[in-house]
Amino acid sequence: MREVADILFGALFTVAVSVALGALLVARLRLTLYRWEAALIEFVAGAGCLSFLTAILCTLHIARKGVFQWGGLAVIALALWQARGAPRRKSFPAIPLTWMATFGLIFSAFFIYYFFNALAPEVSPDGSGYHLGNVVRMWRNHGFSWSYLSMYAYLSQGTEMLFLVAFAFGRHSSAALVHFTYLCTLPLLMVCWGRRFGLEKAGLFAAILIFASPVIAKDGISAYNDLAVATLIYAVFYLLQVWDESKSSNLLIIIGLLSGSAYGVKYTAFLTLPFAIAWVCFSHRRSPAVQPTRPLLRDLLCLLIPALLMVSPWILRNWFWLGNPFAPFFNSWFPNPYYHAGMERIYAESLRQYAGIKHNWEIPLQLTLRGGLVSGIFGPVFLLSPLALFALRFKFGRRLLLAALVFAIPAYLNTGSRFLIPSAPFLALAMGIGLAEVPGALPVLTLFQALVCWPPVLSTYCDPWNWRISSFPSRVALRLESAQPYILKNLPDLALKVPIELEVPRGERIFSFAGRPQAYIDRDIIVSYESTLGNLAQDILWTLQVHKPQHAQHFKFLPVTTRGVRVVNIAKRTEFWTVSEMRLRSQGRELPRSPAWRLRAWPNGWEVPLAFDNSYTTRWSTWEAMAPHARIQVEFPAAERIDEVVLECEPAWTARLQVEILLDSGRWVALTDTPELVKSDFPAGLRRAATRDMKALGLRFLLINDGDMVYEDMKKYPNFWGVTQLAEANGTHFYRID
Amino acid sequence: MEPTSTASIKTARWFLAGLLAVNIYRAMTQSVTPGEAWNYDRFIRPTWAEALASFDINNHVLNTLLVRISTARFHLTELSLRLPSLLAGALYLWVVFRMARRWFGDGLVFLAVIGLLTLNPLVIDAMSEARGYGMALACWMCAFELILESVQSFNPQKLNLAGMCLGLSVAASLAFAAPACALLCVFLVWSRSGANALVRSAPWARPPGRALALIFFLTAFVLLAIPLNHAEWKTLSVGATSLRQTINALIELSLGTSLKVISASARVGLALLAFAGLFASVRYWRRRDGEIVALTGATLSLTLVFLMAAHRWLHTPFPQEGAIYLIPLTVLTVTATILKRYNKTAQVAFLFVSAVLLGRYVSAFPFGRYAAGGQFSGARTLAKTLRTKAGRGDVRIGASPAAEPILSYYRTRYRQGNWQPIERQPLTGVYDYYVLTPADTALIEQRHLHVLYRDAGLTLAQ
Repeated sequence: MREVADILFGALFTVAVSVALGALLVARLRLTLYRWEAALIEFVAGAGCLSFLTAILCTLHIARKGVFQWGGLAVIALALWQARGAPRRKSFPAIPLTWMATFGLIFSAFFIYYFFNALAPEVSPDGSGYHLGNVVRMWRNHGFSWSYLSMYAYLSQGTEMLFLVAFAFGRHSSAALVHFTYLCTLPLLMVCWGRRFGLEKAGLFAAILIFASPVIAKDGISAYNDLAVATLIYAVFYLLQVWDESKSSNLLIIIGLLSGSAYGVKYTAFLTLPFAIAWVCFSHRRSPAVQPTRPLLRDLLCLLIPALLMVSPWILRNWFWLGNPFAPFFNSWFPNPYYHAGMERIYAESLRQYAGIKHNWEIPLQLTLRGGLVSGIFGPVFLLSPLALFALRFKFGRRLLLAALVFAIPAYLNTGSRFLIPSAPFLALAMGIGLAEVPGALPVLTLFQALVCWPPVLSTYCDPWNWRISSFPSRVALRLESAQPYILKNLPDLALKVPIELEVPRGERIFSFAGRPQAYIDRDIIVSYESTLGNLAQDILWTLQVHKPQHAQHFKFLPVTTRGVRVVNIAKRTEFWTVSEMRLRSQGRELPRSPAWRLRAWPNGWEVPLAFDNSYTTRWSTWEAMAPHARIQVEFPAAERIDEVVLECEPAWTARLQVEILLDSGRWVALTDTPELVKSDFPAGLRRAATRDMKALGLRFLLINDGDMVYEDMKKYPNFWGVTQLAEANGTHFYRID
Repeated sequence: MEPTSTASIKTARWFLAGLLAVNIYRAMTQSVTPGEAWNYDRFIRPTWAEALASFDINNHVLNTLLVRISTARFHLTELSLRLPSLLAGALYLWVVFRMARRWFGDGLVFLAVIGLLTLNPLVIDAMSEARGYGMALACWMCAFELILESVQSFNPQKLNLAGMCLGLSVAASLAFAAPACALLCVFLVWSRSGANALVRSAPWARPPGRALALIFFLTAFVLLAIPLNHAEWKTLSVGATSLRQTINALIELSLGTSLKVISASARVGLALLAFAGLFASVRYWRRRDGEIVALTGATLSLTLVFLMAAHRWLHTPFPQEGAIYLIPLTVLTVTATILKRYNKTAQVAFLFVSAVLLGRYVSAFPFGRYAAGGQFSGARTLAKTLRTKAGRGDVRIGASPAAEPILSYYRTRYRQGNWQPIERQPLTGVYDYYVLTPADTALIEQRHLHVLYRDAGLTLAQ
C-alpha cells in the first residue's frame, strides 16, 4: 500500500501545485469567475505554469525531487496564504437536482472504473514507449537529455513536464493519474460552460458523452497528452466566450497562456493561438464601439506575449539543440543531421492513410462503433453528429461548430481517432444544443451512451483489437497483486528487461526496428524510424535483403584535368537517390582517396562520407525526394586527371544523372549523362560488414522481432553476422554483436 | 370517444378477448417455427458479443431484445419465447378496437373493420409468433392511432409517443421503414400545409413535426445502431424480387390460395386503391373531418412509391411477410374512403366483400400450427420422443439442415446437454439418431434406420 500512497501523493501533489499556481495567477489577474469554473481554470492554467517552470528546471538540469518537493510546497503555502480572507466566489445558478443527480451518478460510476485503470501500472503503447520514456530519461539526467536523438524526444513535452513532477514521487502510475485529472476536468468544464451560458442540459449531455467515450477514456487513463490538449483548447474556447462578455484584458493574458500551453503540450494544438487571435480580431471588428479607447493591438499583445512565453521553451530548445525550431517536422525547411526530411514525409504519410478501410463510409462506423482500424471509438451516439447542424440556429451552436471544425483539422494529418479528441467536446455540445428541444432526446441519448460505452458492454460489439479499457484491474491497481504479471501481459517485450540490463553496459545503446517500452528499460533504445541514427542502422542491416550492392553506373568520358567532379541529378522524383560508393578513375585505375578531398553533397551533406568509406553496407542518400540539383561532389586540393566516375549503388531508376566537372573559372560544366550499367556479383562478407558498421555507429546490441526482415537470415547464419543471441521472449530476440 | 356500450361494441370486446385467448393458447402449445428457432439459435441464445458479431434480416432487433429479457427472466419455454409477441398482439388488438371505435363508430362497419384487421391468418400468426412482424405492426398502428388522436385533440405528447412507436416499429422489423417513413412524411406535409384543422384555427399550435421526426429517428437509432454495425448488404437484401411476388405471397398467406386470377385481381386492386387513395387524400386534404382518409390514402401510395424507389435505386428487395402492413393500410384506406362518400351502394358493397373475406378468414382460422412452421409442427413431439429414447446417454444427432435450428432450440429448451451440439452440415457422418426432413428420408433406406417418429414434415430415426 506504500506504493499506492506514493502514486497518489505524486499525482495529487502535482495537481495541488498546479492549482496553487493557477490560484495565484487568477488572483493576480483579478478574474471574476464562478466557484467551480475558477477551480478548474486554476488547475488548467496552473498546470501550464508548472510545465513551463519544470521545462526551465530541465534546461538547467536541476529537475530533482527535492526541488519539486520544496518548490511545490512553497507555492502551495503561498497560495493558501493569499487565499485566506479572500471573498468566496459566487456559485452558478441552480439547476434541477435530478439532472445533477443523474449526471453525478453516471460520472461517479465511470470515474471509479477509470480511476482504478489509471492507478494500475502504465502499459499503454505510447505512454510506456516515449511519453514516459522521455520522462524517465529526464529523471535520470535531471533535465533534458541532449545526447538521445529521437523524433519523439523533439516533440513539445508540456505534459511530460507535469509527468516528471509526479514521477519523482510515484513513478509511472502517478504520471498517468495526472493525465487522468485532465480527463475529469474536461467534462466538468463543459458542465460549467453550460451552466454559465444557460445551456445546462446541453452541457450535462455533452459532458457524459465525452467522459463515457471509450477512446477518450482510454487515452485519459494513460500517460498520453491528448486529454491535456483537448482540455486546454476547450478552456481557451470557454474563456474566449467569457471574454466576449467582459472584454477584460487580464482574461486575454490567461487565454494566451493557455494557447501557448496547448502548443507546448502537443504540436497538433498549433491552431489554438490563431483561433484565439482571430476571435479577438473578429470581436473587435464586430463591436468596435464597445471600448473604443482600447486598441486591438493592446488586446493582441495581451494574448500573444504570454502565449509566446509558453511556447518559447520548446521552440528555443529545438532551435539550439537541433537547428530546427519545429523538430521533428519541417526538416526540409530546417535541414539538420538528426532527422531525415524524407523519413518525416514517409512517417507523416503513413499516419495520414486509413489502412484497411475499403470505403469512406466505413470511417464513421470505425470512429463510433468498431475502432479496430482507427485505434479507438467515440461511442455510437457520435454517429448522430450531423444532427449537430441543428445548432446552427443558435449563436453558441455556430461558435461550437466552428471550433469543432477548426480543431478537427489536425485529424487530417493523423487518422488515429484520438486526434479528433480536441474537436469532440465542441461537437458534443453542439449536438446537445441541437437536440435540446426534442423531448426526452438528451436523457435517452445520455443513458444510451453511458450504457453502451460501459467497458464490459463495449467489448460485446466493438472490434476485438479496438484500443479501449477492457478490464477492471482493481487488485493490481491497489498493488494487492504483483504488478509484474500485469505489465508483462500487456507489454510482452519487458520479459527481456533483466537480460538487457544485465548484458548491456550502462551508457550503451540498443538498436530495434520497432518501438519498445522504454519507460521500463534502463537503457536507451535506438528505434529504426525515430532518428537519423536509426535510419542508418536499419539501412545497414537491410543491405542484404533490400539493396545488395550489385550494380555500378560507369560514366565514361574523355580524360580531363579538373579540381572537382560531381554527379548531379536533374530529375524531380519522389524516390530517394542513394550511392553506396563513388569512385573516380583514370585510365582504368581508381584514384586513391585522400583526406584532403573535400566531399560535399546536397541534400544531406552530413552523410556524404558514407559514399567514400569503402563499405557497401553504408550509403549516402538524399533521404528525401529527389530534386533537381541534388548532387554528390568531390573537390581536390590539386587538379586531378580523370576519365571515369563510378557510382556503386542500387540504381534509382527514375533519377537522371549527369557528371559535371569544375572549371578553373569556378563554373561547373556537364560532361556526360549516359551511364553504362554494370551488374556484378555482390561482394562476400556483407553480413559481417553490416555488424561491423553497426558497431562503428555505437550499436552493439540488437532487439529483433520474429517478423523483422533480417530475423530469418540472422537466425540461419548467426556466425556470418557475427551475432550471439543472448535471450528471447515472446517473439523478440536479444542479440549481441560479437 | 364516448364511453358507450352497444351490442356491436360488446361483441367486439368479447371477440377480441377470445382472439387474445387463442393467441395465448397457440403460443403455449405450438412447436417452435424455423424462423423462431433460427432467431433464438443465432441471436438470443449466444452471448451478446456473438449475437452482435453478425446481422441478418431475420434478426428482428426489438423482438430479439425483448425475448432475451423474457427468456432470461422466465426459463426458456415456447411461451416465454413468444411473450413479447403476445403482448404486442394484445396491444394491436387494443389499438384496432380504439381506432375502429373512434373512426367507424359502432355497428356492422365497426365490426367488419375489426374483423378485417384482426382475422387475417397472417395477422393472427404475427400476434403470437416470436418474430418482429406483429410487434412492428402493433407499434405502427399505435403510432397511426396516436397521430390521428393528437390532431383531433392537439396533444404534442401523443405525437411524441407516436414518433417513438414509429421508431419501435422499424426496430422491430426493418421492413416497416417504408410505411413508417411514408406516414411520417405524409403527416409532416399534411400538418405543415395548414391542412390540420386545428392549425388553421390556431396557427401557434402547429404540431412539432421536427420533434416527431427526430424522436422516430432517435428511437430507431438507439435500438438499431449497434445490431446493424455488422450488417452486410448481402444479408440485408433478402426478400421478394418484385412487388408482384410480394402481393402474391400476401394473398396466398391471407386467403390460402395461389389462384392466378385472385392474385392478379389483388395486384390490380392494390394499384387502383393506391391511385384512389391518393385521389381521396387530395380531395380530403383540407377537410376538417378528413384526417383518416388523407393520411391513410397518401400513406398507402407513398409506401408503395418508397418500396419501388428503393428497389429501383438502392436495389433493395421487396418485403415478404414484412409487407403485413399492407393489410391494415388497405383496409383502412378502403373503409375510410367508402364511408366518407356516404354512398349507400358502396357501403353495402363494402359490407358484402367484407363478409366474404371474413367468411374465408374464419373458415381458414388457424387454431393450430403457424403457417411458417407447418412442416415442423410436430417438432415438439419429436423432441420429447428423442428425449425419452436418448435418456441420459451421450448421443450424436444428425439433423437435416432445415431442421437443425429447431432441434438445437429443443436441445436448449429441454436442457439436453447430453445431446451433442447439432451441426449444420450434410448428413455424411454416423449418428445415434437422425432427424430428417422429407428431402433426406432416403437415408432411412440407405442406412437401414429404425423410425421412431414420423409426421408429414419430420422423421426421427435410430
